[in-house]
Amino acid sequence: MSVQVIIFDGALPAELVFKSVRGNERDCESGAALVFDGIVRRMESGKPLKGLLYEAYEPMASRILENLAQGIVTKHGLHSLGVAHSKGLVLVGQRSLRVEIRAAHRTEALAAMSEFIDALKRDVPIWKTAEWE
Amino acid sequence: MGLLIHPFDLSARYLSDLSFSILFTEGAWPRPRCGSNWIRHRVDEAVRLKMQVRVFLFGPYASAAQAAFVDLNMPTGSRVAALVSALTEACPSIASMMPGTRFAVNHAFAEPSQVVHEADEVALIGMVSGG
Repeated sequence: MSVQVIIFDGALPAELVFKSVRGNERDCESGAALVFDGIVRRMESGKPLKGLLYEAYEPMASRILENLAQGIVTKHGLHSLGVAHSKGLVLVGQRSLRVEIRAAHRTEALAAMSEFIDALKRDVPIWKTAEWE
Repeated sequence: MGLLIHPFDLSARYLSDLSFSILFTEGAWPRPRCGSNWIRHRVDEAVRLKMQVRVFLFGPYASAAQAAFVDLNMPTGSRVAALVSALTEACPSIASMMPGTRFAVNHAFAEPSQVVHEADEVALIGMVSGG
C-alpha cells in the first residue's frame, strides 16, 4: 500500500505520473486502475471564466491530503493512491486535480475514489477564487 | 467545598473566557483584598497576561478582509472559541462568513476548547473549495 501527494505549481501536466502508484503495475496485483482528473470548466454560475486561482495552506494541505489518503487506502484495502492538486492559476480546460487509485477490484476502487474526493473538498485547506473573463 | 467564582479573582484572565473557567474555592470565600497596591498589581497582571496571536487568512476570507493575516490581542490562556469574536471584531467584513468556520493551530484542525499560545501558528480555515 502506498500513497503519494503532490502540490503542483500551476496546471497539472497530462503526463503526470505517480511513481509509487505505477510501481504496482509491475506486480500485476491490481485488477482496477482509476484516474480522475478535475478540469476547470468554462462556465460558472452562467458567467464565462478565465480560470481559477488556487491557494493552498502549506504544509497543512499536504499533511491533510496524506492523512486522508492513508485512511482511504487502509479502509478500502487499496494497493495505492496518488493525488496531485494545483496551486496558482489554472486556466479553463486545464487540470487542477488528479487522483489515481489502484486496487484488486473495481468496487473498492470506485467507492474509495468518491469518498476521497468528498473528503478532499471538505477538509483540505485549499481555496479557489474565480478569475472572470 | 464550594464551586465559586470569587468576584475579586475575576482578573483579565478569567473575564476573557468565563465560559471555560471555573475556580474551585475551598471553605469560606477569602477575605476581599483592596488598596491601591492591590489594584496596581491587578492592572499590571492584566497587561502582562495579554498576548498577540497572528491569524492567517486565505481565499475568500483574505479577499473580504483585504489582509493575509490579522494580529489579535488576546488574554493569555484564550481558547480557539474566543478567536471567533475577536476576529469578527477586528474584521467586520468577514463576520457573515464565520458561522461554522474552523481554525487550525500549528497546521492541525483545532477544537474550540483548545488553548492558544502566543507562538502558535493560527489559521482561519473556514469553508475550503479545493478540487
